[in-house]
Amino acid sequence: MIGDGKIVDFIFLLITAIPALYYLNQALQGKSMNLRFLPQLEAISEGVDRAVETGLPVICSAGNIAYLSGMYAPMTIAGMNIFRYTATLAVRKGARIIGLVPQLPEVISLMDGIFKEVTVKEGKPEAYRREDIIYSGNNESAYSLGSLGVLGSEGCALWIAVGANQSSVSGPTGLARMAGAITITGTARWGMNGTFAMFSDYFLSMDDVYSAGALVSGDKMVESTLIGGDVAKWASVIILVIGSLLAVANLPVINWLNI
Amino acid sequence: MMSTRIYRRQIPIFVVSFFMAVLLIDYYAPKLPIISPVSSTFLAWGAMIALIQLSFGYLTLLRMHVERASRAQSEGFNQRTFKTIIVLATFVIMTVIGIYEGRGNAGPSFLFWYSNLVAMAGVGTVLEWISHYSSPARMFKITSLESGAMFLTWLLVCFREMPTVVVLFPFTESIGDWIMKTPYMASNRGVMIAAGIGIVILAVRALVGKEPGLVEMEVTK
Repeated sequence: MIGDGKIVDFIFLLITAIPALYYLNQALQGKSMNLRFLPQLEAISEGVDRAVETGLPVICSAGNIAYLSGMYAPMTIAGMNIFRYTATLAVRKGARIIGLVPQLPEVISLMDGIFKEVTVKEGKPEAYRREDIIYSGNNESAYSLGSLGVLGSEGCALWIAVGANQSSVSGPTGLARMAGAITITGTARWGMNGTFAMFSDYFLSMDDVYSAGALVSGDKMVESTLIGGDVAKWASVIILVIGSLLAVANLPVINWLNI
Repeated sequence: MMSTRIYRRQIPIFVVSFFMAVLLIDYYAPKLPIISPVSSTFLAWGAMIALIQLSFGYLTLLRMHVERASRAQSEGFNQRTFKTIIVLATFVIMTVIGIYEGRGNAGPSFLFWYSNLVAMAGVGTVLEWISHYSSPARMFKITSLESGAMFLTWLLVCFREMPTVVVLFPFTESIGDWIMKTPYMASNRGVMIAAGIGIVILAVRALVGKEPGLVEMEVTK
């Protein structure tokens, strides 16, 4: 039934998905689970307060290559979660928020829709400004130039860039830091982790990006799925340890994993 | 009357779940004869929907600039109006050149790349290099055990990349190689596994309608 070389792959999918569904069901039945709030997310609230005090805007991006399909799509969703949370805090506290649209024009309407929705939900529809959702062009240099232009002309109290980031986001992040903004970035692109850890005051590394989206929702059912992720991580650790021991004993572990 | 939540959220999630189930079956059980053509058709639909979404994005952008241009008379000319004029003028110029060329897009591409890249090179030379040097400079401030370990790792890997150091002290190459092949590779694989698990968890949340990153309310303006 299952194709060659995909049995172990399928088992891993089940190991990840079943615990997530199980803990989601537990939360639906009212069993509460307390998770720590990430300091990177607490810094968003501090940054918004700073924006209110200084009168400078909050600038939020969802990564420059926020594709809606493929391997970067989950990072796009996570970036949109952070954008929604930041916009909610900004609108609630009276700070101006500028959304930098990634170099993919299909995301314009998504960010515009989230911003519009947040202002209505917070009871401040007048806070919605279509021109604060800024699109600079569909390549890296246009995105970087546009971001630098917005930073230079508007100033910045809080800079957020969480999503599928390339090096074109590092320049604006560095400039935002030099301009005195609090910088919060995050990406699940492994190659960019070192860069953004250096450039940012607060950094969301790899799966922190996905966890942050769940935590900012404030919804216990959404948060519960993270515990399911921990089960899968423990399973991976156990498999790695046992696999390493068996490999040392000269058993064909790699062949077994390719079943 | 059907609730907006049902037709804006529940029905799309049901449709996406069905498509996902077909694609998963096609991936894990590729020998089933009915599934593969259906799966290919769904992927083609996905490409078409992406194209519609792309067009919608450009229309949203144009609408914003046209609205702003139409307000210029009442609100006065400012920096943003100037940008809008640039965008609309560029749009018209590129469209005219594109239509004149008939096929291909060599003209618009030439204009875009040679204006955009030159500007980026100029700005990047001045601004990005400063930020690229000043931001990692924080790495050199050893303020904790972790930052000390990070600095030491960086230093040892740097030595590996310096031919004179390697010639004078050959053991530095072995140390740098060990860092890259053992702790670096282990952490690389660890975080890749964690990120993979995170993606599956996020997908599960989205498919049961519990992912908050999607537009949920019906807002009109």
